[in-house]
Amino acid sequence: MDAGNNSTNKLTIVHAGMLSLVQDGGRFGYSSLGITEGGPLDRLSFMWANRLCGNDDNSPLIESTLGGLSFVCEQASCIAITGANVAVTIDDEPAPMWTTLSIKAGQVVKCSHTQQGLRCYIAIAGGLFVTPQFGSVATVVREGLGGINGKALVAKQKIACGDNQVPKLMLPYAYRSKFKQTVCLRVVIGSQHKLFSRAYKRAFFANEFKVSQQCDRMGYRLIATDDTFAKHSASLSSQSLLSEGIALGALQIPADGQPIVMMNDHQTIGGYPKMGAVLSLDLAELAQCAAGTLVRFQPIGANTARGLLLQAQQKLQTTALYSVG
Amino acid sequence: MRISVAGESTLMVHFEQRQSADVLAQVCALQTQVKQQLAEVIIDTTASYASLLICFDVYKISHQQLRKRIQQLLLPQPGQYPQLPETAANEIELPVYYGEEVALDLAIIAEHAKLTQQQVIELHQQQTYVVYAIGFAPGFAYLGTVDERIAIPRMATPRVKVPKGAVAIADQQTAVYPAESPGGWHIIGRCPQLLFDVNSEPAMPFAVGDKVGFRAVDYEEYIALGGILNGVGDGTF
Repeated sequence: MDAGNNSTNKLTIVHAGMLSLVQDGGRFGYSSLGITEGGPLDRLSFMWANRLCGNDDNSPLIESTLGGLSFVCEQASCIAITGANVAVTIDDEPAPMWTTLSIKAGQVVKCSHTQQGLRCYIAIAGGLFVTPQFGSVATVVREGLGGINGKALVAKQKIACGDNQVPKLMLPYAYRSKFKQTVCLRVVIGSQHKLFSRAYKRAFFANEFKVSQQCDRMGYRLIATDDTFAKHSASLSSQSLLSEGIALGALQIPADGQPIVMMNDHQTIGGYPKMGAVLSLDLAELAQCAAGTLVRFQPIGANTARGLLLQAQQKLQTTALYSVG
Repeated sequence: MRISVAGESTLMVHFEQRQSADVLAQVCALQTQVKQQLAEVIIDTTASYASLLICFDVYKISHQQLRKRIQQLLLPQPGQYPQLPETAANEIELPVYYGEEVALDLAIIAEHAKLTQQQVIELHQQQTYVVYAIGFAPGFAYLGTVDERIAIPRMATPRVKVPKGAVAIADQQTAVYPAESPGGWHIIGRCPQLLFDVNSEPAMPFAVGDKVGFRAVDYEEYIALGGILNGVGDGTF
């Protein structure tokens, strides 16, 4: 939220689409109250939408799952749309994604349903002005926290927002999201991997999995494509564990052996054994995968993971947005 | 105590894996130390039964460096047995109305326990419980340990809706539902006190490691304390 902003601008939702949520960087420091982190599933696209609008990286914007969102602003505004591919129009004129767009007061901005990927991010220069709860405006519907009354956005809702006029920028193609047929998820191996038999682990890292229909902001359930995988699962120990804290990306393996990747709205504690946790850089890719997408896992160590994160951060700091006049 | 990697920016500290107030006291003591001494690199901590999950800023510190600093917190002073200072546990008392119109499963629990309903209520409120974990939903506290005579497994088919304030039992745990939600625990009464309030600070009256007692109140007191009887007799729950 931009505290120093005197904007009286308002964004009105015309069509909310399937699931449009106000998100910021997430809610941290409250897991001891059972409150999860929330925040954008595709953090990279989220951040670029904000940067294209000259906002802080973690400013509040709209995450739209499956697109189908349209809105108008009461005043002239600058916006940017990133993430899943949608056809964008301003008063029915096509407009590009990954680019700062100027809109006039009352013009209707439409995002089509997603054509590739699942989540698109709509930022407005100056950000959305929403009252934080527990330090964040991130909407977690299950907890009834954040956003507007803890719920998904609906048609006719008005959200106070910025009216900043900012330089027009675009992100070079090379840095935009790619949507793949098969996604490789790097897994930081945790200590509980010892609870799984060697045969199960070998099969786990050799197999391909499919994203199931049960995939949402809380978790992605994956199903092995190879029917013989189930026989390795049979050797899983059924010992019950004391519930313990769950990290973002935690790779839980219930007794049937089919993994669940915990996403941003994950519960804060749980008792399933875990192979480790998926690297956050790869969670952003998984979050764009619809049911049926193929997934593989690759084990990595904590040092490698940290190296990859530092490298990604470095790359972000040096990636320049192009001026488009 | 064992420290291990849980993810790209998380360490897990496991203590002796059993449910006991002693083990939990160690978990809470470490949590207090970590929050006080390592605040500049810590993002969040989650205490639960016999473990502490520590989420840290991976851009500031590596897993190995943090592991070392956690171990140092535990280093004994010369001549001292390695022990963290105890954290002071709060003790709070929650009123419970065990009236039959809200104690939806009291008859089932009594039958399962082969006790009278009154005996079940007495056993439930004579114990001082410990908050072993908070999760499932904001403000939902897992309280142990319920007298084994009234322990009962979760329902085979969970309720689609459990009323806010429902006091319930699952195995040797008891809890108060802080808000209406689905749930599979057997309901023994209702608590009129608000247990999770977004607008108050703190949002919850207790934390992991605190002690909770239940005090039976009658209908008049339940209502006087702000208790409501939503859904009673209309089949909502």
